[in-house]
Amino acid sequence: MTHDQKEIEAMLKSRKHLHRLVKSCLACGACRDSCFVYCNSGDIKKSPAAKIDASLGLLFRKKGSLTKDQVKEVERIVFHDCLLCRRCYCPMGIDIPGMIAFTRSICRSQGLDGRKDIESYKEDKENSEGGS
Amino acid sequence: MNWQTLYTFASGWMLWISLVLMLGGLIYQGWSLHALTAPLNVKGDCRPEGRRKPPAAPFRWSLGGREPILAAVTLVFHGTLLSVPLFVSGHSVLFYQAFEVNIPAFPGMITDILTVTVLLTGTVLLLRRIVVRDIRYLSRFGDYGILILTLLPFATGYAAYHGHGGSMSLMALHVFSGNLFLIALGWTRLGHFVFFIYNRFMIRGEYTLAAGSRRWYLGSDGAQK
Repeated sequence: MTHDQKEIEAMLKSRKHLHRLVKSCLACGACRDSCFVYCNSGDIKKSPAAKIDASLGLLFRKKGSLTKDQVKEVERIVFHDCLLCRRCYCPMGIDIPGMIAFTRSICRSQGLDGRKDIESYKEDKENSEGGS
Repeated sequence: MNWQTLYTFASGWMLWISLVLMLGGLIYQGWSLHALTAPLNVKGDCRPEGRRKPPAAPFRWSLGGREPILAAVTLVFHGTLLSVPLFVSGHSVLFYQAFEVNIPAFPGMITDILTVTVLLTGTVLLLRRIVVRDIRYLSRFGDYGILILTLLPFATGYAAYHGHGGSMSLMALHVFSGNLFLIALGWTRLGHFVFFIYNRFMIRGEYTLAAGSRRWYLGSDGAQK
């Protein structure tokens, strides 16, 4: 399925002030230890600040014109690397889960809800178990 | 353009332009932020924070609990950063010459200590960005830039006060970099004190430092604004 770039652009335009919120991140890294997904993996790409930058931040920077792979990557980040547990702590009080939720709305508008990744994950697992 | 001309321009017209740009930028940033929030107890909002303040998060979840040294360095950095320009004797004299209003000033020794504290703590924050792998990954070019821009007026001011190098050139650089800092305050994330005050005091949540009278409205739920 190809994504509807105009719809993404319209959604971003309707909440254009969110870009100011994304850009207000000081990249201090204080949020990383409050995210158990980061703590569990130790991968900085899974810290709240990095997830926002690579999802909603990327959408704003590219004005919604993402390649298919980039949209899939955004979907993976917002559906699989964040559980919206709202535990992320930001010294500036930025609403990180709110921005992830908005990015999920954008993904859903494109028919992407993270489920296909789970199916492909199951298939990969079955294939690897069958092969071993 | 020689140093004297630059000094005259930067401490005259440029200062007024910088102040207007700073205030304009801060108002715009504040308004943008305000547009992303809504009052509490609005129709359609079924979340509990609309009815009562959620219990405060424990201290160990905050920056002070997780990284106490970083929290202390940040606190000292911001405290000295704000107090030095307001109460340095040179600024007090200039303010009196312009408006004939006396503002209190620190003695020279105290100003020196506070300025060196700003420079040292600022350098610690800059080194943290460079040395700590995770923070280096998150940092963009601008993050280094605004930190250097913040420290520049302090470094040049300190050097000019103590007569290192050409005094007029350092004074001109001090005033010019101070103006650039003011402009950046309005239009970059240097204006984060607006976000800090608004987000941590006005918006209700478990990390809020006050009761809070508003909530986030980012457009991702069905609640009406």
